[in-house]
Amino acid sequence: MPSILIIDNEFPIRKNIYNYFENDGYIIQTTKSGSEGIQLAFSNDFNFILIEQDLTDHDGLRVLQAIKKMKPETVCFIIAKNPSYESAVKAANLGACSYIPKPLSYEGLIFHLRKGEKHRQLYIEALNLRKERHENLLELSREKSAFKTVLNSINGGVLVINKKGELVYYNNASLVYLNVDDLEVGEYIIDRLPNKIIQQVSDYLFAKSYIEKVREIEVEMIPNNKLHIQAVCSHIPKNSNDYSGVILVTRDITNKKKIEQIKSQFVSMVAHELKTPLVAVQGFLQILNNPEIQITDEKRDDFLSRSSDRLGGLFQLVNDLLDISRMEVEEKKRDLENIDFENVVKSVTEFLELDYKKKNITLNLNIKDNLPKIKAEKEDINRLVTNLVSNAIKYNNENGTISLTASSEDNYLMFEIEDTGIGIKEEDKPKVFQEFFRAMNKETRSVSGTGLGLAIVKGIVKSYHGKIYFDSTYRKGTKFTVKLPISKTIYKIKPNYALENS
Amino acid sequence: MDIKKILLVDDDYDLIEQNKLILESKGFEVVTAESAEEGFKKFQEELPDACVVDLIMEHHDSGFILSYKIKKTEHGKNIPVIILTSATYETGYKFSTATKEEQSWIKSDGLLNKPIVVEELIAKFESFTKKS
Repeated sequence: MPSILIIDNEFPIRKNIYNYFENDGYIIQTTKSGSEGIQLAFSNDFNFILIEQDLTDHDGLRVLQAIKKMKPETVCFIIAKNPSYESAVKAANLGACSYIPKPLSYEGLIFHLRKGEKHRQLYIEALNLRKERHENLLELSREKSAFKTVLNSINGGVLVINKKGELVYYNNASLVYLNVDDLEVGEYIIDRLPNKIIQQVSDYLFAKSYIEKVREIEVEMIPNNKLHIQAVCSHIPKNSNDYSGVILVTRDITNKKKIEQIKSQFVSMVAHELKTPLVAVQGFLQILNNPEIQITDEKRDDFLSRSSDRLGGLFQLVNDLLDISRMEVEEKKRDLENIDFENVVKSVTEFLELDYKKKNITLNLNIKDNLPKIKAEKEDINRLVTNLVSNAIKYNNENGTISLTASSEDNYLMFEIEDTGIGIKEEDKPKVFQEFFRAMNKETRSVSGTGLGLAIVKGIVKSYHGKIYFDSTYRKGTKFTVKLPISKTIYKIKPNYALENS
Repeated sequence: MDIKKILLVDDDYDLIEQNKLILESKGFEVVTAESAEEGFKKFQEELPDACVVDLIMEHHDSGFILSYKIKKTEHGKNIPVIILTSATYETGYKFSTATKEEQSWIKSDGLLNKPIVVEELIAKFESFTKKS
């Protein structure tokens, strides 16, 4: 049921309008005051409001303005005893549907109300449309931001180029991986890409038809192993033989490359280390078999025994390699025995005596009396000590010192070995126990090895639930500390006294 | 130029002895050195007609550097300097520790694989003699 509010200070007018529309089924309220009219308009939802332009307490146009501001959907009319052109324009600007000069007729008012009804419907329709549009826009921006979030969360760079070579999308990762500072959507992108990528992207961008194949290349973006990327280029299909753009996906493969390098370095190292003794043995055999070369029987025996030594060394290397690979696979089965650590240290240092004397290294042994025994496989402990001592010799300076200390602390046997050698650079410290790792610098160039020694040591210590750590100052020396558990104390189950007493 | 005296540099004593015997059996006079440093000294003293240098001695590229040093001398530039190695391109060995400057020095008349095949070595000598 439509409702009308009449704001007019003239009683006859209010009464007349009331009488006109009451029978037509309108709900009608009237007031002579502008302020009351505003209040009524705010607290009710009138379809129509008729406002006298010259109210006693208010300017009708002000009342119109106030109502329109709060209830823009309400259809308002200005009725004017003293109509003027200026007021009519003002009223229209303030949102009045009509400007109706007095005197009022029933027909005239009916005409205006009908017009007002249409006005109101149009307004509501427009309002709904606007709301819908707003929601659509909201949805769109939500989708856009979701897409952006997804794009930026991808662990890799994504960059989309249209057929004209203009940038359509990109995520932050692609900036990092392509090593460019900033890109702008819409810009011609080809010239902005790094040289190493341009060829690949151009092949796709200037292709005559759709290429089904995806091409990937690996590129060193920042030299010295700072950044390696894999770049994968593909077409975005439009139909079976056309494409709408090119997508470039980039991935950080620096770590993979580093591992590859370490592996290939290891393989060539091993190949060289394996080949060296083989070459020597082969050389001896060739001489022994060469009738042109005359040698004494004594020399002949010497060559045979030296061949045998070289083969022995070769076996050692192969064993090292096998140990390493075995440690990776499973814990080996062991025959544990009680080992006197002092004996092991002494036999190892005796065995390596020639090596450290050659470099004029002083060896200080400081082994506490009554050292507790440890349960282990003798060969393992022997290997552990040998590798550490031989490193302390290899990486020591001429006329240096090696201090060996063995003591017991809590449930551990503590073995410390300190050298006055070349030390370990800060950047190399995290890699010391890595298999195949060998510090490469001026000081270590002369030291040969497989890069397996410390990896084996760490493996052995770990397998006995021990600990190993080191402290090193570059150019000053290194101290390795190994802690091995003395023996596992077996705790007997305590009798339950409470139960016994009861 | 006739090659009579050969300088053999290798840090593996077994190989020095073997190669010395082999080369002597072919009528060459052989002088030996066990390090790059000693090798250069011997080179200056003996002024050999050819050098055979092991690649990996104290350093991974000692042989390269020694050959370069020899090649830079007045006497060295006229004689063949052959690098001997068991590390080859097949094993993928990279001379990663050589600095750029050192790498640019690297220069020699040829790489030969260990163990020495004396015929190959003589062929290298001959091709060098023909060139010069």
